[in-house]
Amino acid sequence: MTLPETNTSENVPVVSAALDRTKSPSFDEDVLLVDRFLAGDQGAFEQLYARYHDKVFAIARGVLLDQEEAADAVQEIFTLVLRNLVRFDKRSRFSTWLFRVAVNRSIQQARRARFKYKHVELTEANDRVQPEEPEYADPKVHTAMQKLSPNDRALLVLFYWDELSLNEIAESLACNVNAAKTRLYRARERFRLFYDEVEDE
Amino acid sequence: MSRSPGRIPKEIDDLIWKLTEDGTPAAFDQFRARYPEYAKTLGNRLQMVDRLKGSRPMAEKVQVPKFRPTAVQSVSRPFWSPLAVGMVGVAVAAVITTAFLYLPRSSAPKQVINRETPSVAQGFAPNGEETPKQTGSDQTIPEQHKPTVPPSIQDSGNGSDDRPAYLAPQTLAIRNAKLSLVVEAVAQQGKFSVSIGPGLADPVISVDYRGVNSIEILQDLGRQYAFTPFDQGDGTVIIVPARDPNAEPLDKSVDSTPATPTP
Repeated sequence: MTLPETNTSENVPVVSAALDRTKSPSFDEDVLLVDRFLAGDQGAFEQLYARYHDKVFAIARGVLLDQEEAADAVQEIFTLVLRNLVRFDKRSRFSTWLFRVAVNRSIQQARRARFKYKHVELTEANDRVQPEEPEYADPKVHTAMQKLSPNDRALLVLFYWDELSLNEIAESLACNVNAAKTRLYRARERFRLFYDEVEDE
Repeated sequence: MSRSPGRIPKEIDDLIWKLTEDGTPAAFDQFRARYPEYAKTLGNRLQMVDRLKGSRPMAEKVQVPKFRPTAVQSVSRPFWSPLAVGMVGVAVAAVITTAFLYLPRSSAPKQVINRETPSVAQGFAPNGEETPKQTGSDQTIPEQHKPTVPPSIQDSGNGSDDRPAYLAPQTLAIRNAKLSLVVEAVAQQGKFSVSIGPGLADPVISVDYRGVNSIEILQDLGRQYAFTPFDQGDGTVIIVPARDPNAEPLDKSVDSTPATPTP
């Protein structure tokens, strides 16, 4: 079966334009999944979840410094995204919008956790069961990260773990590039100081 | 090598960071050749960044769990926020209650005084001989709503009647007051101003008018004490110390006691 000649000739520029759009650096493939989800395709969200789970988990774990809390935080972050996906205005890439939600949520939770642990009674803290094996491959990095604020941790995680560019970090933190650069450099320097302290101990 | 950032020149420190982020082996060698004293610093920095990057949870180590929407806990509010909200609510309620109980109300109900049956009868004491006597509803009048007339004047001109105050029946009972003060009191009760011409005799008198309007009172006083009130039409009445030959006596149907001079 062949398409009518007129249709073929008319479709060529349309298809070509669509292909060009997908090749454009500004094209966000995730937006197609968002649109599909908003149209009722639940599987589209599952694809987004699978695609970004690791990166969101890295952010959450880097900020919270706890595997289990990070796993819970990831579920909460994606639940928030699921609920608020209709508000995604597509002015930025979906990933940066998602990372912004992840960073904000993780920082909030880290602050709450810090307050919670600050008020744990000493006896209660002593009764806690210590993990049998260290959760972190590099305790020195972990110790230095622990001394940083959640905001600094978020910056380092976005840059070194998720390998975002300064532009993407700026969008994720809702600030301009220069501010993101300055904040990242300060966080990096503070990390270095804490890292060196650990080495000296 | 010292780790203090103050001992490394800033440009060298920046260069080390740049090499750490984007450096190539050739760039490292070039740096070590040029700044051998900072070679160890570069090595430490490279190791630190490598370890930091290596701490990332690897994808293969993290099994992607099935997405399960959870109840999102509110973490934006501190634990004491309900307490703060409650305290603010109590404070607002206290302010509203205080304002309702103690502050003057702009829409306070007007005092309705029966002009026909005065509730106040008090003496005028220009010489401090008699103390004012207060009875009835006058005690309930808020301070700011008390009339501005002298305390010797019975307030009976604030009714809800549509008639102008100078035509409304008044009750005026004054004892041992000068004529000029009585005239001014009549004017104040009738809500008009009075201008007394020179030469008016000013004896001490006592009056007791009931159910008579201010104009009629003035006319009656004029007949007794030889003056004539002239309405100027602008809310002012001029008292001319001369008797009006055409003036008629006060209607005897109203309950009035003509002024009597007090010796």
